Amino acid sequence: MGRKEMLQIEHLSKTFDTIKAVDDISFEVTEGEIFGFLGPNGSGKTTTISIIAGLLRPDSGKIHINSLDLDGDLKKIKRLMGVVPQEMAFYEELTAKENLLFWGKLYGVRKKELDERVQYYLEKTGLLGRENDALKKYSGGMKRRINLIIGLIHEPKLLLLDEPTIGIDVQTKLNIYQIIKEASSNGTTILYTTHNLQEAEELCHRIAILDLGKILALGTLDELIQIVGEKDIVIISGKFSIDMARTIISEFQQATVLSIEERKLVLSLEASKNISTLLEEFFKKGITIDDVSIKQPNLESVFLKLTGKELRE
Amino acid sequence: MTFWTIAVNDLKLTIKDKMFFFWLLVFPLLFALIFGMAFPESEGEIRKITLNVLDHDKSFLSEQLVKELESEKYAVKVLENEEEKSIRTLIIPQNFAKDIISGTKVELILEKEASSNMEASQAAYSNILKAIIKIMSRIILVAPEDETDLKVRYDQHDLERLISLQTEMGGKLHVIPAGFNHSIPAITIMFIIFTILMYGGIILLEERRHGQLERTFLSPATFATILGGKWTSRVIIGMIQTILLFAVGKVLFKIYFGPSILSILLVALFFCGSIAGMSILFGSVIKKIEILIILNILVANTMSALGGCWWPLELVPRGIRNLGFIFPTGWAMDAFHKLLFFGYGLSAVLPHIGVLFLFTVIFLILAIKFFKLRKN
Amino acid sequence: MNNIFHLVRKDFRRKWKNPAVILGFLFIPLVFTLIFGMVFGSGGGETLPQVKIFAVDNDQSLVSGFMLGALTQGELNELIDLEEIEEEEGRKLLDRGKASALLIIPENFGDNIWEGQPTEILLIKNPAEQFLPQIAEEIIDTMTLGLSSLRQVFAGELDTIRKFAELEEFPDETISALSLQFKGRIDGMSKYLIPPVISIKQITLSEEKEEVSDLSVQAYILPAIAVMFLLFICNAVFEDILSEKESGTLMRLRVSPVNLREYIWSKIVTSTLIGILCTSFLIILGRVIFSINWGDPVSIALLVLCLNILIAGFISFLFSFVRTERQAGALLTTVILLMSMLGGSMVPVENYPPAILKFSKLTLNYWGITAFKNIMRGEPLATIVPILFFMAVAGVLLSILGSYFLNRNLQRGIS
Repeated sequence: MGRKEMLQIEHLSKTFDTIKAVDDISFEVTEGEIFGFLGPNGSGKTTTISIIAGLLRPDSGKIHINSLDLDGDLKKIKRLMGVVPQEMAFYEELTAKENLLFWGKLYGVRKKELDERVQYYLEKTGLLGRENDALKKYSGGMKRRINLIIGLIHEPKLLLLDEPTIGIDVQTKLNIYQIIKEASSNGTTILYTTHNLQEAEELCHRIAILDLGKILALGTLDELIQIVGEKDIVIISGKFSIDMARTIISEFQQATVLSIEERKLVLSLEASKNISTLLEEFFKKGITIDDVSIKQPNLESVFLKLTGKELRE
Repeated sequence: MTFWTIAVNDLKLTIKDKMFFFWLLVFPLLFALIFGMAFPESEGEIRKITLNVLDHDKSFLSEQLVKELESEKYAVKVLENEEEKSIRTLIIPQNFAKDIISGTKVELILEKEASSNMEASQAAYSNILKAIIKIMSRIILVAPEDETDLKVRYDQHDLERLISLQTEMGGKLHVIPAGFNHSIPAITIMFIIFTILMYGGIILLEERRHGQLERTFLSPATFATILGGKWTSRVIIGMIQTILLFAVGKVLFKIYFGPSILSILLVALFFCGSIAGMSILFGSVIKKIEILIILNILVANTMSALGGCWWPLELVPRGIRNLGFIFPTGWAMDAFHKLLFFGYGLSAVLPHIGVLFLFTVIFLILAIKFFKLRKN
Repeated sequence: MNNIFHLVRKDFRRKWKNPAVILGFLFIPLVFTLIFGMVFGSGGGETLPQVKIFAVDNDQSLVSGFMLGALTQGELNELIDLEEIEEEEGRKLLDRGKASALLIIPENFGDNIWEGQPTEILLIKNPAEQFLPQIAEEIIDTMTLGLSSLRQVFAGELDTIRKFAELEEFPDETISALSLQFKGRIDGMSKYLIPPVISIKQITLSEEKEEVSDLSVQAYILPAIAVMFLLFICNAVFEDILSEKESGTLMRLRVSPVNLREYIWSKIVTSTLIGILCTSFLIILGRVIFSINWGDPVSIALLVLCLNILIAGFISFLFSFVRTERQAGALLTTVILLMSMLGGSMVPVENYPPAILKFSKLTLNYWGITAFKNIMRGEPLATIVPILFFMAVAGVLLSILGSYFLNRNLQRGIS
């Protein structure tokens, strides 16, 4: 496409005491791309974001943002970068307008341009008319929107979004998605962390799946689904022990066990018609099945395959 | 059981703050020490009052005046020159004897430094007056013609003290309270207010803010149980503080408890009850911690000041002194005075206990009226 | 510099919208000054209140009446509030703290004096009071001494009258001889007593300086308490760092082009400016409500500036040792209260023994209060400049140290 690499991460690692929070990860993000970081709590998403933002120093590795080295050119990088943290990070006593003007000025946006942008974003988020109300009077969804546009007011080249849609209604979520997509199309590179699979599927051009500090897979949605192949994901719940389940599955060549625990079995299966044969085997052994679910290959199944666990919302 | 669970839980939350122990004991004792030193003891311990004398006359009569000033209560020192002046100095002018004998007016000057103790200076002034009376009585009796005549005939007339003054302390106490007897009860009351209002109010406010209060009320525990448990924990905090401070006061400062320790504890208990009620009221009404802290400082200090915790009561005009009885502090301090200084028993402070109980009831009723589960 | 300006402006805006804390801390010194003024009056605070004495005259004689009357004359009338009462009621009221002392004149008091027999009066003192009963004792002791002396002076004449009174005979020549004797005695006494040949003038040494004015209670109290609460106000500004840390805006600022040093210096500047505004406000209200004469405006303005620089520097330095809101509350409140206690914000330092005074001089409160008092007493600016210079320099140094340590600790803390 001819777009340059906005973000380059090389062999990044960070350990806290004995816990390796980020374990030798490398990836690149091109300009204008929405890059998703998907993983459960404790997978290393927030730590990675914090390192990129310059809040944490890595133990090893290199980071380049717009060809600038994070180590040496932090000051220049800060002007290019925007952050939307998970918590609502603004001044509740001040109005929406006052917050936006303040943060814009800190990034050196000139008055006239700043006024225009404030007007634009307030309109975009449907908050025009409420700009002179203190933020403490805003609803949760309104606060999330302000939280987002504070990060965008200076039109950063790189935007770090840490789960920006937590705990909000559908309408606000859609509004936020719209703004993010627009920013991306205007050339802002976005690093988007989430543990919402649907969100990642909908927004991100590429997704990295993290767990225990490592990138398990990286690619577009289609590329990731290839990992699972054409196989369905089958989840069987019932009254059986691990040994018993293993015994049954071992005789079934079409199935690959993804995870196995007391009373729950997750496996990928070549074709869903084989499920009845499998279930018959369970019944023959006198095992009671409580529930069976079959899923078409999607991000969740990719995640399941890679990590062996479901991503709890 | 739920009642105690709630009380113990609140106590645990309070104790988790390490600074609590500082507020409980260390800080009040520091205060007591400094206040005790700033407003030192009166009677009970002999403390010689310094009185310097600069005698420009150096006559027989001036020497007699100095002699009359001396007593077991006064450290009288005759200075050699002006540079030695300090604290308070009586200046006897030249021609003192000559002028008096001739009936010419003489002015003695009592010079006091601004930092000198007011009470001691007043006592020194009285001592000087008495010395003057004594020498003037002799002069009138002798009716000398000149200084020589006075010197010869001065001792011919002995002064007889016909009227003597017997003093005793009011009440039943036969031990005269020392200085810290005044400061320890006062400091205890002041810091009970600080500790209970601060910790008691803030815990409630934070529980409301973080949703724990609502959660507690969703449990099977009744409103009365929850409120009672919280009130009890605050009373316990106050009583622990009272016992600790009085115990340390006894060991370190040898304070006297009067004839009835039980009465002291009962007064303290009901006082703590009233302040505990107040803390719950504040925690119910106030929404922000900073406002609560400011209100606590204002209320605690105003109640302490007007209730007689800051300064000796007799310095306060009687009209203002009565204002103290608008607050629980006034009643508690008055009760302590009766027990510790007058040596009376429980019956003398039953009205005080009754009033403190009434305060508790009023604060709790108001707390219930304004109680909110959520911050909005 | 631009960033510091924006940050300071933002903080001012926030404080303006939520002024409760600062207003509260401003309000408290005014309330305390009012209370002190009510208690100690608008005088210099150097005079004691009237001593209330209940008097029980079980004698009801001329002599006892004379003695009680003397206690209500002249200067004594200003010092003593005497009330005659029955003994039982007097004891009850004394127990209730309604008087400083109860004076009981026994039966036959007058007769004993008349006959030249020793007699005793009883003074029961209020044990709950520390000073006034002692004063009552001194006054009455002096009075009884005076009465004893008077009896002794007129002993001869009184014995003669008594002798003839017993005989119930007063021959004319005796009366005239007695009259002459009395006259002679009185003439002899009048040389020394009418008017009193010896007087005592009391001088408190500070009064000797003509240009020095005595400070009213309010003028004494308001600056002392104000210094303490300026420390609390400054503390509140710095505590904002912790709430910004919690709310996430500090993290956001760190990611922005603002660096931590600029952020910290913005807090130092904000607290200094807010301190200056608050002090000025207190000075104006002190003038309007309590008629406090603050002295030379230039000196006061310089003091306000230098004191708040020192306060901001001190608090920033202290604050570099805390990481949480609880730690801040604990350490800073403790230090501020201790300094205030030692430095004269709660108890005038003149009351402290020398051992404690040494520590008082180490406190910021001591120097701030001393400077205020000196200016209000009319000291020229030249004598105060060293204190002001010291304050400003110390303030700047502490600010530099504070910003260094705070920067380091915030870096670690956020990490």
